[in-house]
Amino acid sequence: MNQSKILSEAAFIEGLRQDNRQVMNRLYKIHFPMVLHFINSNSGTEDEAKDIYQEAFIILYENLQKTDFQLNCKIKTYIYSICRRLWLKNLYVKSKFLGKIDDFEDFIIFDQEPIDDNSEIAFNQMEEALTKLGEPCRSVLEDYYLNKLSMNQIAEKMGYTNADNAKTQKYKCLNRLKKLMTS
Amino acid sequence: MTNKQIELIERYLDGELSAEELKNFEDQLRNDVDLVYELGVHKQLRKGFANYHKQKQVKTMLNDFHAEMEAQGLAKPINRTFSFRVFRQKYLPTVAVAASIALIAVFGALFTSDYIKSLEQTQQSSVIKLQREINKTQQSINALKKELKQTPQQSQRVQKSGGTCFVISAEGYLVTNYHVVEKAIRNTIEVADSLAIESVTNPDYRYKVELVYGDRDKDIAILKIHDDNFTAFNKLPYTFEKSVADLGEQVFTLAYPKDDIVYNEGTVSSKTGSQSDTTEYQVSIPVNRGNSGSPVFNAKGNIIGVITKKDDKAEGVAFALKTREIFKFLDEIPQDSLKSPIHLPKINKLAGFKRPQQIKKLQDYVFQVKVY
Repeated sequence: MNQSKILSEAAFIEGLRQDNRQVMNRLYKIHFPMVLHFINSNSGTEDEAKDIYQEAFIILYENLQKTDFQLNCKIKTYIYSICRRLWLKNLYVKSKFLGKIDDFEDFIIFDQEPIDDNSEIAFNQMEEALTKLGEPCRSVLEDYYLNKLSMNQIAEKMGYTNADNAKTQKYKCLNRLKKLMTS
Repeated sequence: MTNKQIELIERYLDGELSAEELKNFEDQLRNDVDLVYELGVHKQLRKGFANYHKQKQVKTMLNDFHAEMEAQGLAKPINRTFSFRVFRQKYLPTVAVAASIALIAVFGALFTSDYIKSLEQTQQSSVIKLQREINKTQQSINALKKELKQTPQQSQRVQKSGGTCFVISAEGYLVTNYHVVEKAIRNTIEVADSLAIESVTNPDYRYKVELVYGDRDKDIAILKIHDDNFTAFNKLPYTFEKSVADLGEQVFTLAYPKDDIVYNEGTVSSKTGSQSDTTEYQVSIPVNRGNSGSPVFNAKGNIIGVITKKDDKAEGVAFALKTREIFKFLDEIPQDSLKSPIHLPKINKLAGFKRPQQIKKLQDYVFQVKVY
């Protein structure tokens, strides 16, 4: 794809749906300055802007993966609206919200949470639980569920005598994780 | 939850169970509610892992983008020097308020200055009008002043005192009280014509008079008409009673206590005056200042005396100089001070007439004395 070619909204949406890395790269770079400006103007740092922007970007990305999702506004407006909402929430949590927020773009108000499926385990929640779980459990579980290694490979990697031992270890770890998640 | 059960669930989810194991597990699921719950939790966990995995991949990708962007120096906030939208959103209310105030101020000032100007104009015009009025008034005042200068004498004369007098001879001799003309005597040097007599019965009867002779003690004076318009009176219809009046006799006076002739009547209440003065009568006639010098007539219309003064303490009590004393006084006058002899009237023409008729005749011979 030609880098200099100006992409239409539809082209961006299509690129996101099809996991087109180049399109996502361009889109990411286009809208970050706007969000950075917004966060900076409302008592936030650049790192916070990055976090908020990426979270919003992922929400957009994931929503576009759903077949029933319909984007009713410009991508820019959507990203800005989500960032605004997330940042407001953040300010509320930190008790920094002064009752007024400086806006620079049009935005839409969401009737529901952009990610409304509460049954799913959030990224942050999983990250937090895994961190608490510690090694070697984290590596075992990650290798098995994320990296899709076989039990033999895991046993070999982690220095267990055989796959069965590794399996037993995995079950223990999983049980602990379960407890962490439900607690 | 034992590890055995977890292993079973995990193997079920991974699809590693044999047909027999699967059948057993599914049977268990039908009866064991806890197992169903555990299976749900595991499914959720697996999904969570899947999502986590996916998101981690995306995040890694995004971090790559970000690093790339930072390396290119593009991770800068959009630098807007001016954005109308931002400006409007941020400052529109403030600007609107400021603008309204400015507008109000401007129009208010314009209106006020116009109003003040119009006020000034109306005031100026009214001031000019006033100026004109004042000028006119000034001119008329000046004109009046000039007129006054041209005719100073008559209008500047002020009557100093007044009284009543009556004719005693057709040649123009009159009798009055000395105190009535006293002030004129003092002024004779300054104003020769400071004495005048007037009658309301006829406007022509206005003559200058001069003092012929006076007696302060008896309070009597003789005046002589000294006027070019005067020739002589008609023959007098009354005379002077020589005998002394009786007590209780009806008497009346004609006098000028105001600018009109006034009739009063009463009776002779005593043959002596104040402090038993035998030269006077006491009469019960109400008199005032202007009555001084007025004649006292009896019922026939003859003169029995001249009013001189009133009793200060008692009302309705006056004193009149007897005719006898008037005769004595006339005799005392040195002949050389008279330009012509005094011929007192001898015949009474009024006896038998009713009072109003008597007065009609008499009033022509009673005058108001004016001293300037």
